[in-house]
Amino acid sequence: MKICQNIDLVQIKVQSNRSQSDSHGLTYYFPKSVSWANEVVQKIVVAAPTGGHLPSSQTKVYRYPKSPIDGSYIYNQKDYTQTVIDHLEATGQQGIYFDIYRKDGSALTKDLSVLSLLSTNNQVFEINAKLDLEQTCIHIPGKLANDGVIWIYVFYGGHDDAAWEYPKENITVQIPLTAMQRMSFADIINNYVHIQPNRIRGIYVWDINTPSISDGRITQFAGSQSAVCLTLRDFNQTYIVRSVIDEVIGMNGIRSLKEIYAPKRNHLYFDHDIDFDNSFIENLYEELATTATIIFEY
Amino acid sequence: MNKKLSGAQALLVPITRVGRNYLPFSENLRNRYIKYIDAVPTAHLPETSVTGVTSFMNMSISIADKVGNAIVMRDLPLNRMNYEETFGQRQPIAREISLQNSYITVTESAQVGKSVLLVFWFDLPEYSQRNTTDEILVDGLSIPITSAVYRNQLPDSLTMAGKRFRSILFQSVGVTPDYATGVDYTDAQNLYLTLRKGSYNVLENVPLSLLYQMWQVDKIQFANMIFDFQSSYIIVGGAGTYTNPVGKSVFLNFVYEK
Repeated sequence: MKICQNIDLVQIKVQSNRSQSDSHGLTYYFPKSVSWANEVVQKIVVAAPTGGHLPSSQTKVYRYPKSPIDGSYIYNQKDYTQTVIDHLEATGQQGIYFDIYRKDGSALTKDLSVLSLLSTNNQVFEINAKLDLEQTCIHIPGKLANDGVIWIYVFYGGHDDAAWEYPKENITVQIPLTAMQRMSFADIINNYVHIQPNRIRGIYVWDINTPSISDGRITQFAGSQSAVCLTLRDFNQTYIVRSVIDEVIGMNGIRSLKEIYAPKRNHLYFDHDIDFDNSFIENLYEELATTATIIFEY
Repeated sequence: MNKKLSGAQALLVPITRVGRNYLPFSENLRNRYIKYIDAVPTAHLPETSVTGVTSFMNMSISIADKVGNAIVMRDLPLNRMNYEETFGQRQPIAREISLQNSYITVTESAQVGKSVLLVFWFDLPEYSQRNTTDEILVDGLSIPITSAVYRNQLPDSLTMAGKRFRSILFQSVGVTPDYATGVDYTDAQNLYLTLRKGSYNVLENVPLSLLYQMWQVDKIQFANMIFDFQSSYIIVGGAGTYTNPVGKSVFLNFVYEK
């Protein structure tokens, strides 16, 4: 059991406006000054934020979610009906490939398709190596329809503890969030949870959209209406997890009851103290209120 | 049962009547320890223009044991072997079976005249190995589809020649790394991969859609399977009647032992 695994968010901006005559494609390197530069990376999960599974006719209700890191828009404002990732998964219009290198300079993957790393993949490709960030890159041979940002979550660190016991109780809280609202865990615990913070040992986020039920089974969740981000810090003010969007640790990608049994989602378990005053959830939408459902385990 | 696989063969079962349709005999499957069977919904079958069955709603399969005098699985809904319904959680067969005494029961006349594509998965110890290391590498390969009639040979790969493969993933990309248009999932349902070692078919006519494993919770794992790139090929189903993938490229990711 991995305890207190750290997650960092890497955002790579990709461009659409290159000329057709450029026959070499574009390569984007990973940032080098990251907290996990010398840590073993367990896996890399590419998120397809909000609307990634919806037909484009429905996506107009989703107004301009903003990046939690630099405040830039996730979508191109002029045409926000589809994200880059949406193109990839829904229609396969574009291809994004990962070249991942180990610390010793040897190649781990060459042209690994992003489909093996998407959060909606039921078994994301595992890396389990320290990475050489000088060489690790993504490359896009095709021409993208829009500018966009690729969200890459890096799972690293943590320790294995076979003796660690799973939390036995849980409490589910629903927290209304107005557009762009950020709420600290201290507030959430004081106002909604009413248990001692130091008893909390696990968290996961669930988008509350009601599943539609037909022929006796849950067939479809309404999709990710929200873009709720989770950030946890410890008392050293270092990030434990940074801006994790709900679909990566949540369950809102689930499409049917069959998938609920799939052990694919990542609960966050921890055994040390979290600074709840400086940990928070936030709604990334500029104009859209949402309700976050958070399940605390203790 | 060890879930790792190293051999597969597609088998076409003609649906000639409402009622029992016995499976055709295949010499290659005789005395094979069958691990799984996939019933694959596909419209265009390999090397024939007969229409494939795309809905297994009104079909069930009964499987006879090796000797042929006992039905060990009776009237199992064929959808239980359809990976699109089971999310890759395959029904283990785990025995040698008698094809001639196994049958598909059909209760819907609309399916008569079509054929069901079954893929049998088994072990080929002579074409696989145990793990010798935990280290793996991943590489990609684009395979141009140039003909709907002839075999589309895999390009030779210097980096992957002689490697032992643990996983092959079909990825429905838009643009492949060599700037060709990638085939999508619909195309992949009608494309068939044959991997050969020398002149022996290690995998024979496996639909590429089986290797698109985004939603599957139990992915197909190969037991360090070996094959030659230059003699392996992809064919387009429908024997020339289906030309949609022609001019595009198939993109595969190979996971192999270092």
